[in-house]
Amino acid sequence: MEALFDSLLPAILLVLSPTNIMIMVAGVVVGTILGALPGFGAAQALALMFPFTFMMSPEAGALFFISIYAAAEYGGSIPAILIRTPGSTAAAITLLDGYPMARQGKASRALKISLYTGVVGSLASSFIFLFAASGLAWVGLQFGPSEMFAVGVFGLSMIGSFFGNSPVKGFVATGIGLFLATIGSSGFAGLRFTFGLESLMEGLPLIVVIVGLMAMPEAFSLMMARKSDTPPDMDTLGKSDPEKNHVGWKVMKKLSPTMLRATLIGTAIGTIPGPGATVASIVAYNEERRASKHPEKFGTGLDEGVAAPETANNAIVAGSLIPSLALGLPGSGAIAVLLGLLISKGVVPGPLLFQRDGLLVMSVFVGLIVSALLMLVVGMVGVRVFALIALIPRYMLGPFVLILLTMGVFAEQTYTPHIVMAVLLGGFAFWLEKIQVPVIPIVLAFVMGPIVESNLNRAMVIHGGDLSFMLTRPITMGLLLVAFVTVVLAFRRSRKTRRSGSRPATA
Amino acid sequence: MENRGIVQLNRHMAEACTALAILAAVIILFIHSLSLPPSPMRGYPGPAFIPQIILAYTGLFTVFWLIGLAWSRLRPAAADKIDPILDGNRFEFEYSGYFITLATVLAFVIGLDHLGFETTCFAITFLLLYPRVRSLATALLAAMATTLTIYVVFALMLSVSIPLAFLPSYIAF
Repeated sequence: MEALFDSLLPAILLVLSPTNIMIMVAGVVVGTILGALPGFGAAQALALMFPFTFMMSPEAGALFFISIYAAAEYGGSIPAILIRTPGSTAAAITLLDGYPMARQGKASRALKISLYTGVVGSLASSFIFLFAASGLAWVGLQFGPSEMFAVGVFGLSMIGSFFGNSPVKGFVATGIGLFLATIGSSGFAGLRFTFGLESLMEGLPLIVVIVGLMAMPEAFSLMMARKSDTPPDMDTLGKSDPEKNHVGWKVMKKLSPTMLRATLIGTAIGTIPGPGATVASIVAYNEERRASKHPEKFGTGLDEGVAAPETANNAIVAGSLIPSLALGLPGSGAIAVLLGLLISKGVVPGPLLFQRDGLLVMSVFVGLIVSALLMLVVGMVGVRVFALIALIPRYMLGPFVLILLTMGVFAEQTYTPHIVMAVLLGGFAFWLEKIQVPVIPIVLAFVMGPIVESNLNRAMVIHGGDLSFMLTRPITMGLLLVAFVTVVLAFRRSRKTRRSGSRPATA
Repeated sequence: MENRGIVQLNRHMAEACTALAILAAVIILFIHSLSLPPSPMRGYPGPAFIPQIILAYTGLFTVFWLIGLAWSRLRPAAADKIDPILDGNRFEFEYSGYFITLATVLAFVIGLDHLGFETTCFAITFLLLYPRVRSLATALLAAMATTLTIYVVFALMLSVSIPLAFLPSYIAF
């Protein structure tokens, strides 16, 4: 921890350098624009921007991605409030009260509350990140390979459990991701599943899997969009009442209990691999309604109805970084892309990161704060302009997004078979989405697969090939038991939801 | 029921076919994994160990998936409860758009290797845009602008080694 704080001043200087500020401003603008595009969430935005990090240092790349991530979570709420078209699934909750506010002539008020509370959520959770992540990293340092293997298995059990409307499909998707990670070289024991194809010898590159599974399905969807598709509702864009739209200290003070609750909820849910921003928004909204003296007014245009989900879905950014950087467990699709960026730069996420790359960790912390402040500035200046982005017809975007993704995949190693792999994975992912099989677990499992395998291999070598270490080491056994219970609970929850006739939230 | 390259598919059937395809792939890959070399050192589990666990796990859950589908098929009332009006039992799949997208990217790959980036990018962007904008001039201009933008960003700014035919002779920094 002490060594970490030694890096604080260098990190501040690094983040505030003109180049990095420009990179972060670009990240905030791009993130807000892409977040405002319906269908593009933070993960897709990051996957699309991956090639632009090739020339960046790990710190600059991380700052760029953090800015995009935070801004995309905010950007999704702009079209949700103004034109009833959520840019991301998490923003669909903001729509419940944000759009009625806009219809009442309080669009600007809803947008300001969304921006200010999002910034507060980001800032507050950034401090929680610093202390919780360094604490978790310290715990991680006490772990050996067998415990880290068990942590990985626990992470996989959470991922399989939380995504989509059926745990069975989530676990099948996790298995697919883990298998994809085994293709290619297996270290010193030779090649696996290459079937004589030269292009598979080095395995599937992370960028191919990320772009193929997360961004390509959206490109397929955009290519199929038609001119006759339902246009967004634009009735509220012109409405504005200056008197009702003022958001000052008084309003923010009134919303502070809401922001506190939602920050804690967002950060806590962010630390769990799997649930993601949508679940955080839903839980924060429901908790707010439960705590309110007038729960019946939710959905009619309440300030708290916008503040709760917006604070939570911005707080999740720092929250999900806690297990990702401290233990190497990506909590969401967007974080998987961020970890992919770090891994591609030779940085290994995990407990040792806090000792070896204190500057990077502190840069991420300072970057979270600076990106939140930049989001405030950019958001205040360009909110109406960003809303217009969502009005670009979807059928026009397809060719541009497809070409950009294709070039992005090609650019990393200038190897055309990677484009073929990405589009085939994209086609597969598009089909899986159609039949409601969640795709994000495939990406998360792909990132975590090598961590789980290498730790298991190490543990087995240490114990002479004897698997009984899983039963003799208490922490390992405890974590594996928790993983098992997580799987059982996921099935129980799914059964209960089926019986009650409703669907669990998809992340 | 088919309409302009769109087909209505039964969700249960589509899921069952996908699950069966995954199960078949799992079985084939598991058999293949048996031919992987043994462990080169004591204690090290060998290259096939983890893949076999993963494949067994995936196969097991795929079987659960199939059982779940068969169960809901046997009890249609229960199936209706799972997916009420939200999902329905049918969904639209636009196979023409799907295969056009796949073919476009594959054509891009072939074009990139044989014609160079400029011609390929321009031609493909134009061919995709024209049916959408219905204006020859707009499609031509947009395709040209896209090609130039990608050239400037990737080749000039990011120094990506793109197979170029003629642009560097005219535009270079």
